[in-house]
Amino acid sequence: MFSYKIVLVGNFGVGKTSLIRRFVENSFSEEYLSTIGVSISKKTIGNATIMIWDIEGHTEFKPIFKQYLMGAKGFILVADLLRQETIEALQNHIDLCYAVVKDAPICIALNKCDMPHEISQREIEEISKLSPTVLKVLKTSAKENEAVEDLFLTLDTRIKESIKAD
Amino acid sequence: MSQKKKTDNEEEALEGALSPIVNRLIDKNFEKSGDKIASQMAPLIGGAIREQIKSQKDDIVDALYPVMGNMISKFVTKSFEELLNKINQQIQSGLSTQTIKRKLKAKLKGVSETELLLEENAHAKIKAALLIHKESGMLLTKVENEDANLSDADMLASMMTAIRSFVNEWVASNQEHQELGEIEYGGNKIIIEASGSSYLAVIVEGAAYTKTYNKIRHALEEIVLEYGDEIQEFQGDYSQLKQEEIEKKLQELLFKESDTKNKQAKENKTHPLLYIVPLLLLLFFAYKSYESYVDESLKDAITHNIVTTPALSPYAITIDVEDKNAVLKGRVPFAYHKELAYKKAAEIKGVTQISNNIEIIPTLTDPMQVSAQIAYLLKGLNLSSANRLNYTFDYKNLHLFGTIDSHKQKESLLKELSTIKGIENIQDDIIVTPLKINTALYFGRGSYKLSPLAQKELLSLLIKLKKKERAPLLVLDAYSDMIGSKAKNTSLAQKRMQNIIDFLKTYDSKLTFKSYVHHNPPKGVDPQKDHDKARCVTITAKEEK
Repeated sequence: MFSYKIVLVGNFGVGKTSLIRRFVENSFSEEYLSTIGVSISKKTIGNATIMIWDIEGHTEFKPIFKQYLMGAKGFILVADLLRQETIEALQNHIDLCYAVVKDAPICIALNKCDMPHEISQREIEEISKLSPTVLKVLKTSAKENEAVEDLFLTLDTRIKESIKAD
Repeated sequence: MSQKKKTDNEEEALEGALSPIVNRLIDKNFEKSGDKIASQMAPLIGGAIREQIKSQKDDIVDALYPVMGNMISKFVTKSFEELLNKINQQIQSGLSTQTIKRKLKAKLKGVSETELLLEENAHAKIKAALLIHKESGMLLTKVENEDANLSDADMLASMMTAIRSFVNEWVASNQEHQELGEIEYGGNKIIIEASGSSYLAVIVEGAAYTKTYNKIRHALEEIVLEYGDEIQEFQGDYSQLKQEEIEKKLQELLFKESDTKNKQAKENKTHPLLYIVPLLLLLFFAYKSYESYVDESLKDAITHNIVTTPALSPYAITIDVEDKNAVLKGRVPFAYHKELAYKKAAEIKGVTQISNNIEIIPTLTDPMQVSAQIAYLLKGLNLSSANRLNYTFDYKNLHLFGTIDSHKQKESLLKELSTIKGIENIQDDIIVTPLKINTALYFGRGSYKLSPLAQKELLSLLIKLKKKERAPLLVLDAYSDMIGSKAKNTSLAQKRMQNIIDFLKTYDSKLTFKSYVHHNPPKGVDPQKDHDKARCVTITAKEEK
């Protein structure tokens, strides 16, 4: 039996909640509901229970509470392919995560790939090199259920490995 | 100007015409779609009340006071009632160890007993306890009561951690090193007790006292002391954690707080049972000893009553009483004594049954008493003139001698003597000497009537005759005083004898007579000198051989 916590970090409106909803409930809603504080979901994969923390998106006026990140075994950083500033903010998020939990694996989701977007493979590679802890950078779509499972399962596999290694 | 006036008039007219219709419509609408109107009105009511409170606060207070006041007082009264009932119950539970303990505690602490009772009754019930990893919010282990209804403890643990994190972050930003201690909701609260790497979230129902906090703290201390390292190194693998052991520790907490009452209740329930057995035994013994006491006192009373009865005091009579049933035992000489003993025992109140097992054993073999009995018997016989009876008694051997009137008397004497215990051999030297009957009856001159003296003589003659086994032939000799004619004297003599015969026959018809008339006086009587003695009739018995 395993149980661990992962946290989704990203600017507001990038689709963190949508990704979680797709992964946990396999559903999607066009309606935008801003997460206030924190929302927690639970998903069981095999013998592991994952507690998924969906925290309030980062804004100019509201920093992310470090406390929410503590104790996480991994992070999913989310950016909106349609909003460049959210991609640029990834570095800050990585730094924040590293500061709180050293060496925790990170998966990066470039969300809303179902929408017309412009991002080169080179740019994606650059993102993956932001930190050695970055496992994977994926273009995802919660709406079209694209690479969502891959995103979570990649992280899950790595975390299980690290737990077993301990 | 006139145009405006016209319009006003038109409006007035229209209003007058429309208002009844509109009113009707509104009424109808209210009737038809009350629900719809209610739902439309509902959002407005809140605002309306708020506005009213803002402007006319007193009105609202006055309007609601009767309802609210009653509601509140009803609720408070009910709560107090329940509390009072509980306290009363505990006070009435009587002299249990709990009560004594409480009394002592009250004295030692200088607190009133009521206060302690209040504390006992303010039910702080721990519904559930969750041990949570401090950083990750992972649920390490949990315990819960049946009625806790923790639907998703993992979520609760994470949310609690999130809330805690939020508060701690916020407090930290205000530069105060304080932590979230508890969260209240409804009648419940979540008490949070944190250690280095984990914290306990304890869901408590009702008022929590210092006692409760101390218990929670103590439980966490124990867990941290024993499993602190494991918890600190917890990475998500439950197989690395001694979950069951920790759960056991937490379970204690649950028992200690929430089940103490149940336990106490159980103890209180088992207590009487435990007491009842020795109590029953005690009662049994008490009853038995009381019974034996009753029996003993009955025995004493009967014994006293029998011993103080002079007729019974010489005899050894033992009395046993069991279950108020008296048993009399012993030996007495006569049935009289047995009856008397029974009577005396029956006089004592409380005796339900008497078994009279007294034996009658005639034990009058005292030589003196035997001798006395013989003496009495013989003396009685000797009263009769002719008997001259005597005896010597050498214990068990009786020697009788003397004379007796008749065989009949002798036989009855021997028969009587044979009934006296203590006589074994009778040497009989009694000589039967028949009664001598020789009676002379005297008459007046020329009279043939029986004088009273003559009648008396005849009666004693009859007594003598009775003693004889066979009536003898009585010989009557009538003598003359030789005064007057021979014929007259003869007639007188016959009449005199006839009178005697008639008199005797009235008493004993079986008597036989032979009569002789003599023309001379009896022998040795001179009729000249002693003519009174010459006018006589003699009666003699002629014994048959």
